[in-house]
Amino acid sequence: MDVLRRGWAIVWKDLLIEARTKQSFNAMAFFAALVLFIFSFALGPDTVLLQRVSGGLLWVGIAFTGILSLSRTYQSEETSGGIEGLRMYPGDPRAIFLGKFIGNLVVLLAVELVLFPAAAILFQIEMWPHALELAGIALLGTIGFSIVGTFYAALTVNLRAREVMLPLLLFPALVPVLLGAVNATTAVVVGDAMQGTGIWLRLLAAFDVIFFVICVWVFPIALEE
Amino acid sequence: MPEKSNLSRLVGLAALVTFVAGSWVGLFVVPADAAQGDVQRLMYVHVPAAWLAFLAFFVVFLMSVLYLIQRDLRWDRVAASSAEIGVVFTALTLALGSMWGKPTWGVWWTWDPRLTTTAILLAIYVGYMAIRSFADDPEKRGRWAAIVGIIGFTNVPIVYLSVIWWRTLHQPPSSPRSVSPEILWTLMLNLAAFTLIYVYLMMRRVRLAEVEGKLEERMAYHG
Amino acid sequence: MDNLGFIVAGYGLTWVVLAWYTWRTNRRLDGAARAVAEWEDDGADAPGGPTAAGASA
Repeated sequence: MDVLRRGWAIVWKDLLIEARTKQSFNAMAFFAALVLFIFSFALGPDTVLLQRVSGGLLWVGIAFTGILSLSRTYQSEETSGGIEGLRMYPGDPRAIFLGKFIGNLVVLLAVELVLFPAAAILFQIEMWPHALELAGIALLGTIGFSIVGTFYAALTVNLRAREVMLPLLLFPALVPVLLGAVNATTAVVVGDAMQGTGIWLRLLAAFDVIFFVICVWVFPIALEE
Repeated sequence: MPEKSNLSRLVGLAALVTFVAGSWVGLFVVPADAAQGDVQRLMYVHVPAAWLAFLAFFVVFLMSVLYLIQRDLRWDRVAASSAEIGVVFTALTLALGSMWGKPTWGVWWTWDPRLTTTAILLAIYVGYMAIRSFADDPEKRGRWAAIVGIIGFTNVPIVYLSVIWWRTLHQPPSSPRSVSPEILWTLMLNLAAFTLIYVYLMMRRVRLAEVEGKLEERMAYHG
Repeated sequence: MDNLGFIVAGYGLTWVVLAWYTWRTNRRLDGAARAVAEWEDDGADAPGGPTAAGASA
């Protein structure tokens, strides 16, 4: 598959740049931990309360950090004129979407690898027994976030006010992802049988599939001259 | 030369008459609801406003798909007009819901699935209007807006479902009561009135988009 | 009627919003149509025709 090969080339190039410079990863991980910290200060030192809202805090941290990383998605093409630079890649433009999507996904998952243990320590949560469930939630939630995020980042890359436009478009679209991920995470952490993790995981999976199809379908249109 | 067409005048007049009749019947003719009392009369403006908001955004979705297929700016103008009217009606729906909620539930706002979904809907289409305002080229603006229109509308059922689950996993949803025929007829009358208003506003707003498109074209050509 | 204030406010708001939006759309339409008409009167190709200020109404 030519599209996959080209997409992979973009992933490899971006991750190589990232691995060499670590410019965004370090800042993002630190920023995400800082968000957890600030919310803990705002809510007070009540551990039971913090555990109850830990799912929300984690995903707010991921969403804010994710927005920062998404707005830099196309940075390495910036010097060649943003969206014009993207158009210069040969072949199917869907490869660009796939490549950028996977790049964003990998970086965000790496940040979460730091963030979840940090939350476990800060909020005194026993995460190891639930590591597998949490990993599943994080993966499905982050996939949904990255799909729509990568897409809207491309749509807004050449706008004058992209710093405002990206969250304005993205956050309302991400409501199902946030609700699903937050509730599933809280259900696992607090151990609330009433809240059923399964239903939320299915919602996240459905969101991921639907928006993957739509975004792959319309991405070439978004990139048109 | 003021912009008036006979057809839009006729529709406007019909809308005005039905709307006055609908408000009159809703306020003074139909008996008060047994359970909720008079405040239930707000339903006759709240529900039609909500219905129109959804109708308007559905039209945006259809026109967005059509635009991406045919690339005819006519569809984009209809989509943009419908989105603007939809935003007005969504805001109205939220305000009316709040005014109904205060005496009924005792609070201005509650995380009711429909109320919450409507608020998110407003945010989605404010984004749609915002991205339109940032593009100078009509073709590009139409394309970007159509994409946002399609993604936004696809999301509506998913948002609704997720908010329902979020709200009802702890409390069972209230079962709908049977509605008396008078209430139903009054509601139908008001639905007709609001739909006529939508048709009238669309005629005017699409005409406006056409004239503005013409101006924009000229300015691009001569400017 | 009980809760008269809420009912009056609700219907009043509906009326005001719809009247305002109709008025605003019609005013914008008249303004834009006038700009087009002026342009056509002046002759579209004449130099120094109407500027953006007149057209953006």
